[in-house]
Amino acid sequence: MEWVKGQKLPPCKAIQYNGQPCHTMPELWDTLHNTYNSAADRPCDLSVLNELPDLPAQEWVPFSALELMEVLAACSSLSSPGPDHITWVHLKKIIAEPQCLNVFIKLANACLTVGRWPKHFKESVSVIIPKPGKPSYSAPKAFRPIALLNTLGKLIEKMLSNRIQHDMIAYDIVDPNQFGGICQRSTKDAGLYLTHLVHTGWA
Amino acid sequence: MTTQSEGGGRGRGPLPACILMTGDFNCHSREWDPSVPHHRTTAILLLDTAARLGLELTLPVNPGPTFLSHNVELRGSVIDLVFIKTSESLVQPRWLLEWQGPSDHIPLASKFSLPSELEDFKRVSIAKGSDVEMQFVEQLIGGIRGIRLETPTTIAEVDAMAQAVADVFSKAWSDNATEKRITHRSEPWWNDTCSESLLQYRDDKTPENWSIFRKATRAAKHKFFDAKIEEIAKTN
Repeated sequence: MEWVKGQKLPPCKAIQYNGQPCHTMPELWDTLHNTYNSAADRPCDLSVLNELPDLPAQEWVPFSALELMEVLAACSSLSSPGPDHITWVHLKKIIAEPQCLNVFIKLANACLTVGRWPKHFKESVSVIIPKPGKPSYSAPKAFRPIALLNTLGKLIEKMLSNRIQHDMIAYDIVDPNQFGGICQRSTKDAGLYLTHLVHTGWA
Repeated sequence: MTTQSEGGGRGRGPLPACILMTGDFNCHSREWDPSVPHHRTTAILLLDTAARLGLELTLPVNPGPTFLSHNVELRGSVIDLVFIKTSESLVQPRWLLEWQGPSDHIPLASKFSLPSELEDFKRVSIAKGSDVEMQFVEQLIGGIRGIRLETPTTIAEVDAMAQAVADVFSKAWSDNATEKRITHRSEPWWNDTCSESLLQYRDDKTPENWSIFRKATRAAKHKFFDAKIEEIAKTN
């Protein structure tokens, strides 16, 4: 690959939606929104949750400063920030100040004890990324949206996720087919699982 | 022939609809040249193609040949055509005789409005590793330190504390971030040293300053791509 010369652009064509090309921003917004959020209002049957037996409540120890620092140390410095533009690098510099670290810990613990997830943690920016190697980029499905959430909210989510990892597996709450968000499970496992199914079909 | 949709590059949105198609088409027809008796396939095809692109032929205010050969024995003809987006086609092009010079074509000028998406792509940012970023982090630290440290016990108090943190973030960002214009000529490796040396060269145009500018750009590229290689080598 040439480093400095211009890269050959993929064949360019306006994104088509319902057979019509999108030329303006509002049209493009409608197209992408309707494609990626088509399942937004679909009714969901939550009654399966009622069948799960209630487990005895467990003791909850408040988050510690060490926990926050360990989680933050594992975050990539190259990762893109959310709508507040605060990257992991900035957060790492902020928590180097003990007083600031204390504010974050207090906030994280209060969120759990009060049972409230503030609005700021839910704000996100969606970035539309072209999938590599597509023959044509005129369909919205040739692009992948990723949501960038505000990093402070993600930090608290990561601490929470670390706490419940073991219980999740121990009490068999996650579906065996779920590979996302679980330690020691990755897309490679998903691929391996699929090829295993194919191989057993051959046998 | 130039069309609007041939442009576009890095940082541009979707290709916008065709606005203008103009040039020397070398095509004769009675539709635009009264001295031609016929209207043949090529001309019909040209009009059809333009219509499919949503464009309409607009003739200059003052009719007459726009191509006058240097050979005075040949008569002039109309082959320079302007097709504009149908909604704009009421504005007629006009001749710019004072701009013709020794050319055998008469320059044409027409006015039309560009859609807002074609305007320059602007973005607010703080450069990584810059002094501004240090200032930004300092302001963040100062702001968060200023938040009252009480353990929130109600929903309203949690919201207030989160909002206080969010306000510090957004205030620091709006105080420090600067607007950048991104065009298809922008380069990711360009830095302040490059801009300074370029300005210096433009001031006096000496070869010494040109070599200083070249050295600055080369150093900037080196620095940028070394960092990029380092990043790719270290992550994953």
